[in-house]
Amino acid sequence: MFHQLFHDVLETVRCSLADGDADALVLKKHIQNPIPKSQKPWDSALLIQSINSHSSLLKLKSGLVFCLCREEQTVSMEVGQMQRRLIEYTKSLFMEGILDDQFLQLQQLQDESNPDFVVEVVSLFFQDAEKLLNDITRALDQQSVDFTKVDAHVHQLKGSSASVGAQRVKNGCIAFRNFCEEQNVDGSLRCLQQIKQEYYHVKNKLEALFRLEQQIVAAGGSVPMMELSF
Amino acid sequence: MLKSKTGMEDGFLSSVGAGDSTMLEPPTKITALVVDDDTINQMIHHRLLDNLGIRNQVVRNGKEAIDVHCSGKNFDLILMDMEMPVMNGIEATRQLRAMGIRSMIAGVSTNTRERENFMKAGLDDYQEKPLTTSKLVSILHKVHKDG
Repeated sequence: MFHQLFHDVLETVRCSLADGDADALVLKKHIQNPIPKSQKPWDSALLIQSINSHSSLLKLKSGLVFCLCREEQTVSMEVGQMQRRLIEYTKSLFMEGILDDQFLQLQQLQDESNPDFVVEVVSLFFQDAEKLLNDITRALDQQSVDFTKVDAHVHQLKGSSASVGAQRVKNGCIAFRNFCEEQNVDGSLRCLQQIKQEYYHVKNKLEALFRLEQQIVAAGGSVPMMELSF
Repeated sequence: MLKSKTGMEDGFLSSVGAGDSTMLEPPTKITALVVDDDTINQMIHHRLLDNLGIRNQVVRNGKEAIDVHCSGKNFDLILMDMEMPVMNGIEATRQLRAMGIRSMIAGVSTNTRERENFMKAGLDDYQEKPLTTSKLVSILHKVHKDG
């Protein structure tokens, strides 16, 4: 399950406790301790709906609704919460400069007739990028480095990262090309390391974002559209 | 949203500020050709055009662009990438113009060094990649259907 979500839930429960919500204490107890299968772990004041033998919807006085899955010891927030969580998460990626406007462009091109557009384009980008990073690594490993070749690969990576809005990867490529022009092997190797880090970073973030979207859809919700200005 | 003659809502017409009588009305809808070797760009440009209601085809390099015209097809708009294998955008643009093709050709590239040569080859417009809806709309404002 999505660990960051789990910690946020604990934090939300802690805040509810601080606000005097006694039910939050019950919830907290069951999030943190293993729940025996046979036992119904929560009192009727909390329980609003049993989804199935494994999951139930619980509501705190503050209005927050949680879905507790007993067997997996997981907690997930109700769809509205998940949608808000997704928006906050996406916003944070923009704030940190990991994604730029171009990603929003891609999201705007997604609709009911093209529901997987963003995932498809980003998957292409992952494939492309990993191949290019391998090619660049190999090219820099040669006895006599062919910088024209390296530059061509970096140019391509810059293009595809720009197309999906992977800003830090794109910026790394821009810097890399300077080292290529100078035929600087050490500088290029350092740059390559940097770009690899940025690439895996954005890859992890985007995969987490897509997982969040999948959870929302699986819970019967729709993926909220980001607004252009925030 | 403006409604086209078929009664369907047409976001494209609205977005280019088209009024009731416009050369962009159906039955002759705008057609486009995407010329780009990169699969990510192909996908994005195709979808950008689709989203604006523009029927479009995608080819992978300059030579395929020439071939598709030789087969008798014609397009209102050609989005031409510059750096492509087999035949690049500059050469393809030159050849298309030499063939008498007067379609709107918009160069789409990141290579600012070759921009002037690209324009000289016969472009009507040039946009930096990545292409966005608003860049595409600004290109489309210049499309003339009657050639």
